[in-house]
Amino acid sequence: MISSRNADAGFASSRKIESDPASSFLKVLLLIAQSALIVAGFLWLAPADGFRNPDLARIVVFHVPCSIVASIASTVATVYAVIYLAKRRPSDDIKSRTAFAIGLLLWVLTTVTGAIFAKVQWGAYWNWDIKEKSILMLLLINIAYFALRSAIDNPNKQAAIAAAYAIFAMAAVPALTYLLPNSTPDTLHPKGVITTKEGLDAHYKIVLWSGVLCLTGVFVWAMRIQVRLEELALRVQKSKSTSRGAKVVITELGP
Amino acid sequence: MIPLMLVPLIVWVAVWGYMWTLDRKVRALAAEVDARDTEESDR
Repeated sequence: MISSRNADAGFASSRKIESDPASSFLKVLLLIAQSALIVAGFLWLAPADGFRNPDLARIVVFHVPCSIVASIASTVATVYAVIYLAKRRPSDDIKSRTAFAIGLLLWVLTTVTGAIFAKVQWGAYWNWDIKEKSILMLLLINIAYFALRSAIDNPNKQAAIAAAYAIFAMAAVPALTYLLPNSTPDTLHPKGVITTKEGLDAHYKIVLWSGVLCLTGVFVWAMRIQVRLEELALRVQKSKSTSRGAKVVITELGP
Repeated sequence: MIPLMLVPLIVWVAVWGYMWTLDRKVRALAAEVDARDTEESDR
């Protein structure tokens, strides 16, 4: 990812920033909605009965949305990877890579919130439960994507191989988050929490699904910022190489 | 629960503030690059 330092140079300019009231309103709404969800998660929801620590079991309303939005990010990354393979536009590679990076961050958040839940309810941060093993494999698959990219110097080759790998990585998401954990009864994780009607109390459902909506908003916003930044960097790089090429031509044609 | 609640709340507000600032910086940078491209094409 490109650091914000690259953007600092532009901010020094006194040029007036394009204002978009609708987009600013949505961003402020996101701030209020997500803050309200955090407060609701801690103060409005009743403690979850049946757990060792009913108060802290409420972390499920943060843990599950992270996992769902991470899956959405992986899907978006794969869709752009397929589009890249079909059309070979650098902007699609940027979008795929960015969605992958944000997805990885969300998988890490899922692991961290899950580890807190595990410590409180099952006594240890890591229990080698089937879902914990699955998420560890998912994290490694996601990290391998960036390792693969960094191992290839040619940008076109890098983008094409990474796009092909992204499709494989996407296939692993439903297999590792749903199929494999549900293939065995030997798991600490409660089953059917999201997929059955009786799984969660109505209040929990409201907070959890609103959390998914807000986190998806954060994902879209973060992706737009990063994609815009990388596309700008690409544009500047292209215009620099064009002007350098023009200088070479002028020198060659000169007396 | 309130002190515990403040941890994710402060983290979220900080993340939102960072994203808001970065968004504005990137928009300013885009305007700068657009202006530079226009100046170069005018020449």
